[in-house]
Amino acid sequence: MTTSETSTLIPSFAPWLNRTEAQSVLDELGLPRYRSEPWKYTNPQPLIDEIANFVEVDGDTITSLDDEIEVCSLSSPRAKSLAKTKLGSSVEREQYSPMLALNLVNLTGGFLIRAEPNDRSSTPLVTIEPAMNRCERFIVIVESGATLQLEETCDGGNRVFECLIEEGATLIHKRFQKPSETVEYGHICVQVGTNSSYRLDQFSTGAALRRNEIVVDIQGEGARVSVEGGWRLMDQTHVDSQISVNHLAPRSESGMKFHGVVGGRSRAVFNGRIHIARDAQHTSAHLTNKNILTSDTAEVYTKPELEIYADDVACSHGATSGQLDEDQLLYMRTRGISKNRSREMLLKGFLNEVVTDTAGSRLLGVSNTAQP
Amino acid sequence: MSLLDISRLVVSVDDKEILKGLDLQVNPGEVHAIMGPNGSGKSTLTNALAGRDGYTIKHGQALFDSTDLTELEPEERSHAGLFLAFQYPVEIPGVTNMEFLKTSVDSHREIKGLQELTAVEFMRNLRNLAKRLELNPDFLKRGVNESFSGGEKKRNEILQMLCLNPRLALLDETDSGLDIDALQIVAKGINEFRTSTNAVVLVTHYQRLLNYITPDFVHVLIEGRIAKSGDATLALELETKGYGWLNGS
Repeated sequence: MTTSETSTLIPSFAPWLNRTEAQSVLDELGLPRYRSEPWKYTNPQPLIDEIANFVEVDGDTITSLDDEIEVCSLSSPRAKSLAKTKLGSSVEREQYSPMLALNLVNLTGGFLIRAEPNDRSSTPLVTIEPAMNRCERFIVIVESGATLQLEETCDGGNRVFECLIEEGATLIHKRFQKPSETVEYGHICVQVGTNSSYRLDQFSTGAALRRNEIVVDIQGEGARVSVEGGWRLMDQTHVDSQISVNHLAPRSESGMKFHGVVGGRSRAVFNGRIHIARDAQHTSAHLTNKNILTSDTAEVYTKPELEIYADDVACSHGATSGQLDEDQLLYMRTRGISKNRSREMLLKGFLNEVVTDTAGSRLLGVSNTAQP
Repeated sequence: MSLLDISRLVVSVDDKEILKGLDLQVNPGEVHAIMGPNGSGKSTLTNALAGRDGYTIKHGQALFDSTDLTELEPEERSHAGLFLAFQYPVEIPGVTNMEFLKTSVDSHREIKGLQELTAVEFMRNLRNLAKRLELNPDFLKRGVNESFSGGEKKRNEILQMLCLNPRLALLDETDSGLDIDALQIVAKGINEFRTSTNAVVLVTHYQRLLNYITPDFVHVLIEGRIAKSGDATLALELETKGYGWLNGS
C-alpha cells in the first residue's frame, strides 16, 4: 500500500473537490424532505442531523495488502490529478443530489484506490472498515484489464463511492452491514465500461436507520452487472435501498436480486429501477425483490421499476412480500421437523438463494453452523 | 388393535362437508388401496390425516395406534410413525435435500433419545437408498424438489419414506405423473418397504399401480363415504366398469 499523504480533516480536506460548488447546489436545491418521492418511506432528517455530530477520528478505515493497488488520500495532489484525468467532470456530479453535495461539503476524509492489471491469479483485495462518525468519499478506478475486490464493513457514518471500471476490467464490491444502533448513509455510483464486469453483494442487518443508494451506469457494450443481496431485520430497525441500473449501451446484461426477511417492528424499503436507453438494444435485464414478513408489525415497501426505450430487449421485474409459505411449512412438519425449526430452515433457505459467501451467510445468520 | 382406526369421520373444508362418515381400519402388515372418482374426498382424507390447517374434523375420530390424531401436531404425527407422501411434493429452494433429509431423520432420532447421525453414517445409508430408487446422488445437493421432474419428485417421496421407516405410509396419488419405468421403481420401493409390522395405504385414481403392488383391501370412496370394499379383484372390476355403478349405493 502506498499512502501519499495522511488525511487533513474538515474543513480543508481535498479542496479540489470543490466544496463551494457543492454548497451552492445545496443552497439552490435545499435539503431532501421527508415524503418527497425518493424519501417517501424514510425520513432523511436523522441522516442530515448525524453529520453535525461527526468528529475528527484518528486512523484510516482502509487496508490493502497488495502492491498492485495504489491507495492515496484524496487530499493528495496525486489523487487530484488521477481523478481529474480519469473521471473528468464526474467528480462534480454533486449538483444532481443534495445528499451527495452534503457528503462533499462535510467531508472528513477519503481515498483514491487504483487497480492496475497484473499477472496474479487471485483478485487483489482492499478492505474498508466502518465509517463511524466520518464523512468519507472513495474514488475507485479499475484500469483496463484489471480486477479488484472491495470488502466493506458498514456501521454508521456517511460514505460515498465513485467507481470507474474501464474496458475489460472487473470490480467486485462486497458490503457487509452489521447489526447496529447507528444512523448510516451510503452511496455508490459506478460507471461500467465496455466488456467490463461489476458485481455488488450487499448483506444488511438492521440499524436505527440505514440508507443505501446505488446507481450503476452501463456505458460500454457487452458489460455485465450483478447487484444482489439480502436483509434480515428485527426490532425497530430500518433499511432503505434505492438501486438504479441504467443501460446506456447495447448488448449488456444486468441482474438485480434481493431477498429480505423482515420481523419485529422493522421496516424495509426497496426501490429497484432498470432504465434502458433507446440505443441499448439487445439488453438483458432482470430485477426481483422478495420479502417474508415474520411479524404483524413489520413493514415492507417495495417497488420494482422498468423503463424501456429500446425495442429489442429481454427484461423482467417483480416484487413480492408475504408470509412463510404454509405448504412448505406443512411439508417439513410432516417429516417430523418442529414448527420453529421448519420456519428457521425456510427463512435460511430463502436467504440462501441470494447469499453466495460465508461472510454474508454468517452476517444474515444462515450459515450451517449458526444456531437458529 | 388397528394401527389406524377411523370411525364415522366427518371432515369439512370451508364449512362444506367433504367426508361424511368414513370408516377405515388398517392393521399391521396390510396394504389398502383407496380409489374413487374426482371430488370423492380422497385428498381431504389425506390432508386431514396429515394435519393441514382448514381441514376440520367435525364428528367421529381418527386414532393412530390408539392416539387421537387431532391431539397431535403434524410433526408429532410423523414422530408417532405416520408418513404422508404428497400428491404434489413441495419445492423448497435454498434448502438442500441433504439438509432437509438429515434434519428430518435427526428429529426422529432425537424423539427416540438417539444421537444425531454423523454425516458419514447418514450419507452411507442415503446413497444406498438413492441407488435403489435410481436417483442420481447429485440430487442431494439441489434444493428440495427444486426443478425435479414429476418422476423424481415422487421417487424423492419414497426415499423419504424409506429414510424415516414409518409404521403407516399414506401415499397420495404417488403413481400420478409417472411413466412406466418410474412407476415400477416406485412400486419396487414400496414393496421392499412392506413388512408384517407396518402398513401402507395407497390413494389412487387408477388400477395401474395395483398391477405392481397387490393390495389386501380395495375401498371405493364416493361422496365422502366408503361405498364398497373388497379384495384386489375389486380394482380390476372398477377398471372395466368405472365408478358409475357404485353411485348412490
